[in-house]
Formats: sequence, structure tokens, C-alpha cells
Amino acid sequence: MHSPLTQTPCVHQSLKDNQYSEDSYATLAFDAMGCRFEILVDVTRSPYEQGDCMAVCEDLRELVFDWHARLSFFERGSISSQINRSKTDTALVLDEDMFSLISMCEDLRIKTSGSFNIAAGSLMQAHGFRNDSIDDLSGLDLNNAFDLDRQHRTIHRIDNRIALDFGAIAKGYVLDEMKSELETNGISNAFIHGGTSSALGMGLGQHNKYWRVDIGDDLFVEMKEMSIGVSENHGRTISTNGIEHGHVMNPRSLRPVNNTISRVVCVHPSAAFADAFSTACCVSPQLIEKLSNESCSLILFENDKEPTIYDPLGVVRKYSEDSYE
Amino acid sequence: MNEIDRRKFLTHTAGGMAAMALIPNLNAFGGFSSEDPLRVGVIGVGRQGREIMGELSKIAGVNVVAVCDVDERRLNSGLRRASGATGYATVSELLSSGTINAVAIATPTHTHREVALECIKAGVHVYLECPIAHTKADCIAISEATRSSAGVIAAGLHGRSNPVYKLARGFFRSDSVRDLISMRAQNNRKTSWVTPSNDPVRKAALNWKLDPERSNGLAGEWGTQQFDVFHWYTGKYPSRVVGNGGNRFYEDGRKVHDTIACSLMFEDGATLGYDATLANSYGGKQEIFFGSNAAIKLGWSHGWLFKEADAPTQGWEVYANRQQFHNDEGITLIAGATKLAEQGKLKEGIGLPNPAVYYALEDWVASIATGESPACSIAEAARATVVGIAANQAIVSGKSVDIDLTGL
Repeated sequence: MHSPLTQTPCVHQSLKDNQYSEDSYATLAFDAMGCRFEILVDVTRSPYEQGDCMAVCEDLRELVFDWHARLSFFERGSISSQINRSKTDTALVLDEDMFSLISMCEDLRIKTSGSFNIAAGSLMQAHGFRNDSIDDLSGLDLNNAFDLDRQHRTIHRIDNRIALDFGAIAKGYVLDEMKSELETNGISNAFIHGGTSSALGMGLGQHNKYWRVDIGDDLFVEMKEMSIGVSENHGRTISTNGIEHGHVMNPRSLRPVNNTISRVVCVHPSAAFADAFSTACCVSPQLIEKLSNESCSLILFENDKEPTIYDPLGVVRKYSEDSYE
Repeated sequence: MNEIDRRKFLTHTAGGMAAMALIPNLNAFGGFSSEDPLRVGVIGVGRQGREIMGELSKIAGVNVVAVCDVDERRLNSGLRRASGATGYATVSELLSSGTINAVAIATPTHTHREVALECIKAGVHVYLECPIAHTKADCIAISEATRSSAGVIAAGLHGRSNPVYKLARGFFRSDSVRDLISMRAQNNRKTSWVTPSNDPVRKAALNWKLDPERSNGLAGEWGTQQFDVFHWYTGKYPSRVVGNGGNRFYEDGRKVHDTIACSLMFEDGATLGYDATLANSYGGKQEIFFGSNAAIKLGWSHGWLFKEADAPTQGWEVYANRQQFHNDEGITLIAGATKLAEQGKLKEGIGLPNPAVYYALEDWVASIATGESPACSIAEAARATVVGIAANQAIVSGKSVDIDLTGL
């Protein structure tokens, strides 16, 4: 028996805690959104037999594929690409799902004082993380990147250099959608993750314990109906003028992030919020106190320092001898 | 193809490729606008129906103003994908609403006849997903109704409007493969075909693909689309089919095979080998034409030409993009290649930006606007559907089945 979840230095499901047997769990893994998604559903506490639980997992896979096709920055047929190609004098009509997502992103931008911003896709282009580059960012205001007309459900870009990129929230958002689908199907005990940097636990895992996620530095999170989002400021880097930058962009300074934070973990009931808040704190660590009032726990990892833990949810634990009992 | 046709094709290949826009020119056919849109109702908003809604929303001048489904849950999720649309539980309510002038039908195959006939009778434009029906009798009924229809009736055989497939067909028809030796196709996808539901009545309704009384199995549901590619390229239909199948993976008591293989035989001796499974995804969905000079491999968003070492070289090959597949080198078939090469953007043209269904819908909308025939008529789709039905009969019975296309 082994965990279906991939271990990474960033976050991984505790192998010892989440052992499962093939008979009692339905599992499905697949690649989407540039990472590997894994779904684990507790069959014994679901209203279904194993086969039907697998069918639910397959429906979730289709849901992820669908959102991948809608949100991908790179696929020319995606809604995201349609928006990014649209003329600044043209308002695009969005469906309810897409409009809700963009509205939520706008709310999150305001909550994070602009440190999370889907319009930061323009910065990825400007700083060489995309094939098509932007040379001139002067006068670009990412806090006024687009207009949303709530009455007509339309969006239009203010500036033709604006490129929306849902990369910092797509996985979390789709995990929330998957959770909703699981609940509709009457399933309340499951664990799902996308690329291990976004994870969501529902109900209980094996041995009637909450799902646990290892977040490094001898810490783990007890997932009491919680989601986790992890943002790291290393991984993909690019060198400009001899200076190496991480791939996280600061939408306020229009520059790559330059601080000592190596990783931020956010625990929140919503996986989309967890993703957005972890990114925002990676950009602006000073947000941690403000955001810890938003029903979330935050853990900041800095190079060569003990992690800073704000845990109003009381879900962060340190491994000890009895952790596995 | 005779020598003159062939020469003409080769002369015009570069120009033809340049004329085929890869990035959809949404207003190319004109006719509809945001002020005077084509008002579409989508009937059946399961997975396929929702995909159709998504693709229709990309076409300028098209508004999905209504969705229709007997299943309330699906209807609600469909409504979330169509801004401002109205939901209907029955086709009659939808048609009598007076809000639409076109419908896209994506209901279960065995319900197509009833739905399609009602829509055709109402005089609206119809896009009907393929296979178009569950039985030959239903195919004939839909074909006959189409002859007196007021609207444009198109069938969703996606290969016929796919830019890569149209380009590859040009190569095929110009003798690029030379003598056709054999044909092969597969559709592998690891998926159970089960739709879960706590409600036994709903579950039975949703799981029609696993009911042999309502389903033509993998050959009918998946094969029809692919068989048509061979009909369209060769201009011929198979006359006989043999096959077999079984449940190699799923042990849930299903009566529809999870794995099949069949051979479709043509009068000239050519054979199309087809296999499909729900238990493995390797290779996905593809069709291959093997010729004495080259093979053409098609994968819905991509296509390649694999030349024999002794095949003559053509001028345009100098500019071609190539991809390595183990020991074989494929020339990538890129729609609009000449123009893209001139712009130094050849690689950006690899793969289609939209799924195949988009091009089928775009073609239907263009036909409505221009009055030209759609890329795929109901008659052509009826023949492909009957080939799929016959293949399923051969697989289920284990016997050779003659393919009878009379009356179609």
C-alpha cells in the first residue's frame, strides 16, 4: 500500500497517515493545467460502490479538462486567450461561470491590496517568461486592468498590453468546483490535489482522522474541511542583467518579487482563496496579519529562518512521536 | 485523381494552404451580428452539449439563447454556461417559445429521431450530432425529413470540416500516398462510460451507452466519426464487416463491450482495421492511411505525412516542419503553412486552436449565413451511422455482416 500522492519538498500527503487500501478508496490521476491531479475518494463512506465512485472521479477529470480548456493562457481557443486578444474597445460577453470566477478574482485583488492580480500575466510576458514579450510597461495600471459590467456580464480590457493569467488561482478554483461536484454526488470523504501545491481535504481519511498534509520543516496541516495553497518563489527563474528572478510577479511594482520569502502556505476553507492568499503573501509578506483575519492560517518560510506561523484556525501541527497514532 | 488534377493540386497547394486560416476568421461568412444574431437553442446539455455551447460562444453573431434538457441537474449546469439563456425541459416548449431560429442537438443517440424530426418540422436550422441515430430505420426517417426542411440541416461528422483533415485530404486525393494499401484507426480512452446517480431511474436514463438496447457500443458511438473519415477520403463505403469484442477490464456486469476490434472490407479489396477500448488510453483517437509512397496519420488536432524513402520529393517539403516518432519522421500537416512560413511562424500553426466540434459548428453557421451546403449532410452522416451500426452488429454477433446502404 502506498499513497497515491507525490512527495515534493513543498507539500505532500503524509505517507504514514494516509495509507489506503485499493478496496476502500477509488483513485484517479491525470495530467492537466501543467501538473498532475490526483483524486482519492473513500468508497466505504460514500453512497456508491467502487465503480460508481470511479465514475464520479472521471466526471471530476472531465471538469478539470473543461476548465483547463477555458482558462489556459497558452491555448489559443481558451476564453482567457479570447479575452487577451480582444480589442480594448470591445466588451466580451462571459458565461455565468466565467464571470463569477473573474468577479471573485477582482474581490481577491481588493482583499490583497493588489498583490494577487490575474492581470499579472502581462508581467510574465514583460519579464521574459512568455514567448511573446512586452517591451514597455510605462503607465500600465494593473489595478485598472479591465472593466467588468455585472449587469451585462461583460469584460473589456482597458489597455491592450493587459493579459489575464489564471495560473495563480486556476487549480484552487477547480478544486473548489470538484468539491462542489463531490458534494452534489453525496460524497463527503475525499482528498484531491493539483500538482501538490493546491490540495483540498473533505471529511476524514483513514482511521477516522482528518487528512494531513506535510508542509515541510517538520510541520503538517490537519485538513478539517480545509484547503491548502502553496506559493514558492523559486522553481522557474529567469536571469535579466545578471540578476536571477523567480517567476512570482509583483503586480504593484510591475517587477519580479524580490524578498527573502521562499514559500508561503495558506490554509483556507476555499482552495481558490488559499491559492490567491499564498501568492499574495509571497508578493507582500506584510499582508500576513491582514489576511489572517480572513478565516485562514498562513505559514511563511524564509531562507535560514524558523517559519512564521499565523494559525487562527488551529490546524498547523508539529510532528512528534505520537503524531501518527 | 488523374494527372491534370494532380498537377493542378500541386500547383495550388501553396496557395490553398495559405487561404486556409488557422485562426478562425469569425466574420468570414458574414450574415450574423450582435444586432441580428443567430439565436440557437442547445438540446441535450450533458458533456457534449456543454462543449457545443462553449464552442458556439466563440462564433461571432451566434447567441445561445436557450438550453433544453429533461435532466434538471444538467439543465442547470447548462444554464451556467450560457449568459442570459432560458431553460426548457422539453423540445416542444423550446420550439414554441419563438426565441430561437436554430438548434444544436446533442441528446442520447436513440432519442435523435424524435427530437430531430420535431425540430425539422418546426422549420429551424438543425445541427445534429453523430451518430445521427440508433437504427437504420431512424436514419432513413431523418434523411427523408431533411429533404423537405426549411432550415439548414447539418450533421456533426467532425472530420469533414476539420482544417487539418481537409488539408490532408487534399494530399490524399492528389496521390501523395499513391496506391492505397490499407487503413487503420483506433480510439483508446480509459474511461468507464458510467454516469453515477443515487436515483435508479436517473441512472438508467443517463447510462444509455451501457444498455445494448439503446447503444451501438464503441463501434457505433465512437467508430462512426472515424469511419466517415475513410468514406470521405476514398469516396467509398465498406461492404462487409467482421469483428469481436469483450469486457477485458470492467467487471461491473456490463453488457456493452469495453474493448472491440473489427475489420471493414471494401469492394476493391482494401481493409480498414478498427479497434477501440475503454481500458487504455495509449495512442488516443487516430486514423492512418497506408500507401505505397507515404502514410497519412490523423489525430484530430494534428496530422502528419510519413514518406517512404523512395517517394519523390515535392518542392514545398523544403519549408515543412518535421517531427520524429521513434524511427519515423513525419511532415507536420499545417493549415495555412505557406503564409505562416512567410511570417516565420510555422511552428505556431502546429495543432488546431479549437476542438474539432468547433469547426463543424462554424461550418453549419456559415452555411446558414451563405446558403451553401454544409460540409456534412444528413445523407452522408446516415451512411456513416449505418456502417457503425453494422460494425456493432458484427462485433456483438461474432458473425460477418453485410453493410446495406440501400435507401440512404
